[in-house]
Amino acid sequence: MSYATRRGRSTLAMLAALVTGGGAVAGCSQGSSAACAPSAIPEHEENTLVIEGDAWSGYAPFRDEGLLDGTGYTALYVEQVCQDVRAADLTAGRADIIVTTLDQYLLEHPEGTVVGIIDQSVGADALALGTAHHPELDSIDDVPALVAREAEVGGKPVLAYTGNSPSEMLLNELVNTTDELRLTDFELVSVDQSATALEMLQADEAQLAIIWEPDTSAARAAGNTIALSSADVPDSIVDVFVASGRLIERDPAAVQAVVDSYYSMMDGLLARPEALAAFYAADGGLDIATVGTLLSGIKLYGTGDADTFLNDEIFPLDKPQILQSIDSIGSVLALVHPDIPLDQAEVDGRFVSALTR
Amino acid sequence: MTTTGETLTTTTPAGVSASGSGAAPALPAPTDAPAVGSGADKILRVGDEPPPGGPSGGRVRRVLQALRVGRSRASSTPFRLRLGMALLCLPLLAFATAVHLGVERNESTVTTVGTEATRGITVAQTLKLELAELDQVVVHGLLSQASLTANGFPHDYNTKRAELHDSMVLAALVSSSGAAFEQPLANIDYALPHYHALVRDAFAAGADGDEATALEAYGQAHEVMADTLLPEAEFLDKANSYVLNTTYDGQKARSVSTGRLIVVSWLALLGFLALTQILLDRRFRRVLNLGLVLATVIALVSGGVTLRRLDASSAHLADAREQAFQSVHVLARARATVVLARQAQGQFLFDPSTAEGAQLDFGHQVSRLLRMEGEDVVDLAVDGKIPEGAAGYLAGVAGPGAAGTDPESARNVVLAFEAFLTEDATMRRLVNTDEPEAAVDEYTNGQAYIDLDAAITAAQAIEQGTFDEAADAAEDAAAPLDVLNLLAAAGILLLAQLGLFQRLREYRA
Repeated sequence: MSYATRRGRSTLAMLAALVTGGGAVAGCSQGSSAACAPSAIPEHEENTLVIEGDAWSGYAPFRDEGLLDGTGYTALYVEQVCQDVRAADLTAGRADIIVTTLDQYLLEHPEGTVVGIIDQSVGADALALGTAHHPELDSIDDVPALVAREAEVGGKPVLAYTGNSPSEMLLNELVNTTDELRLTDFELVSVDQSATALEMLQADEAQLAIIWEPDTSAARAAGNTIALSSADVPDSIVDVFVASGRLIERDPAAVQAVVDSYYSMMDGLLARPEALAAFYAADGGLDIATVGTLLSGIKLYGTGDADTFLNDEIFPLDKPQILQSIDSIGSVLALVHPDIPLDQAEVDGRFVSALTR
Repeated sequence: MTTTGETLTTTTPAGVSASGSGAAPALPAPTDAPAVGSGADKILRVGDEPPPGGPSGGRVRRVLQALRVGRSRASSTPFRLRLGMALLCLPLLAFATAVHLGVERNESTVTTVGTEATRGITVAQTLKLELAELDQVVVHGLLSQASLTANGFPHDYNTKRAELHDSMVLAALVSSSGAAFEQPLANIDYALPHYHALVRDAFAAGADGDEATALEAYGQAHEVMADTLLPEAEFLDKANSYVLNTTYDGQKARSVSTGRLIVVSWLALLGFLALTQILLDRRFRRVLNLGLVLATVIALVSGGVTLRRLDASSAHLADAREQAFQSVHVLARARATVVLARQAQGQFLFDPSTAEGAQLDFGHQVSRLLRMEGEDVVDLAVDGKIPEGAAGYLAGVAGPGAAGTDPESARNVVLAFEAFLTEDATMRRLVNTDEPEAAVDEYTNGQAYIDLDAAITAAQAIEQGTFDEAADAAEDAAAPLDVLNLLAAAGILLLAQLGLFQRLREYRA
């Protein structure tokens, strides 16, 4: 099922969503924590670092209990589906580190600093067209004609996407980079997860859907068209880890320990593709083929690439790519959220650059 | 006769002349109600002694009597007339407020759609066009070995650079505030000096005969243009388009709800006036009250005119947005794309090492103009006609069901595009037959490009004119409504009050 698919929710969170009529996710997207349960943080030792995130496979190394072995710290991974609660926990000091996407970091603006990059989507998230039910809809060029046909009968095509997730960010990015998509041309339906959007596409309840792997492959296999994907908008869906300001100030060695441990684990896995696939398969309970599909749509970062992304100034804007991504993502988000505080975004690449020295 | 606390309504046989005009019908006799406050005073004055039943019993009786007095006054005709005069203000105020709200919303939308957002898009597109033209001027200058001015650039480059600078200033002035608008401008502002520096290096190397350095420097400059400057200008356009689309769609939704509000308040006002007329007829046996009739007529007319004008304003705005501006916008994008295709042609000739990439780029730009799956673009546009199912900017303005308002100018664009493709094919044939100089001559002559640019500019001007007319019409349609609404409300109030006051005066008389 969807346990470890892209931004897949945990079984518990799914149950919570079902019990609340799917309201958990909607609650998050509205910035309200009313529908989100507080983080269940168990009692822990002084030297335990609380890391909050969701069930996304990319966060698997943080779920590894042995992540911080030999550093004098231990890691405690707490699953928290709601981004606003995760951000609030970081600000309040209940969490030491959160793993999230750059767009959510900008939207929720927790008191914390981006200290590392985990991965970015390069095709895993995609816009699928319902070609199976609408054979004429096999290219993005056919979308305006579909919109016109629906308008003639007083309707709009339905576009399903997962709210408060990278799907929403991808939707905004695609709208801002292609001529054929205009948000107001569609009836936008926010769903709880990619699988639901795919189900709507399969049942012709939606004519377009933003989905993520492995649903992207499933949609393609079912005869639908993958018209656009995150590969068309590079550097826009980026997973990062954010350390709380308190932790950086109080115990920078702890932050350095997390950065060291994470990238040494990733360097090891990236050097052995089979071990990498096996690791993610074990974490998510997925078969190797599914993991292969998943990994083909994302770029994972080891020390070298992370250092480049966080610290190298890129011509001609002469800023590290992460800052350029923050500006670019922030500009897109600012259309919908004009008051988004982009100047509060903080990046500290020193922890990663220390690894390369 | 009337006893305290009771109202007897008797009709005098003679009646009283109501308005002094015509035969006076039998009117209800004036109600013999006690003067205001008299009932209570009388009770208090009774012998200065507590009433039977003790102090508390007297109090109860006094209260009951006072209530009876109140009820008597409430059911009296003058009271009802005064109440009617007061109550009239409510539906009238609701109607006037609803109309004001509708006019205000309409005005705000017309300003945003007709001026602010569309101007932002136009400026963003101008910026993009000038950036593309700057890059095209460079490759043209390098190919034709244009003479350099004292600052190291050809004259054409300086001119285009100055135009671009003006557009940047204008874009900064007209753009809305917020990161979505400021960030792309800041990035262009930052990256542009890099581009200028690289271009100067390319020209300097070209003038020194160092072709390799010239190629390398221009290659880098083009990368800055293609990967940073143009996408930022495009984003600015998208940001303004987003504002335009959301404002326009929001307006469409709001105008429906505001229209409903106006209709409801209008009907309430008309209903109130009609009801008052009916009650007066029953009470005074007059079929018509002139003041109320006139007030009703004004209400009818002003409501009708308001709804009709707001509807007309919305229709004009729809014409402006959905048809004319859509074409202006698509044509502006097409124009910039043609310049990019022209630049790719130049780079194809200038740098053999990147010729393959330049040819791909040309194909990409052409496909943005016109494309259809499985079809060669050369076969798509024939005699100025575009087949159904084609996509791209030109299909958007000249294809079946295109939004444009002037099909002839759109057809001219397609004809010029056909000639442009023919000229390109000739140029590439000359390269393939080892006649590079003839190919460069064909390129630098570029008559088909000049014609295509002129055709797009002409079509754009026509659509812009249509847009401006429709936007002005949208503004004009709703412009006098606020004043008319105020005058109408004042007239309705005055006439209705006069009508009711007249009856009140008759009654007193």
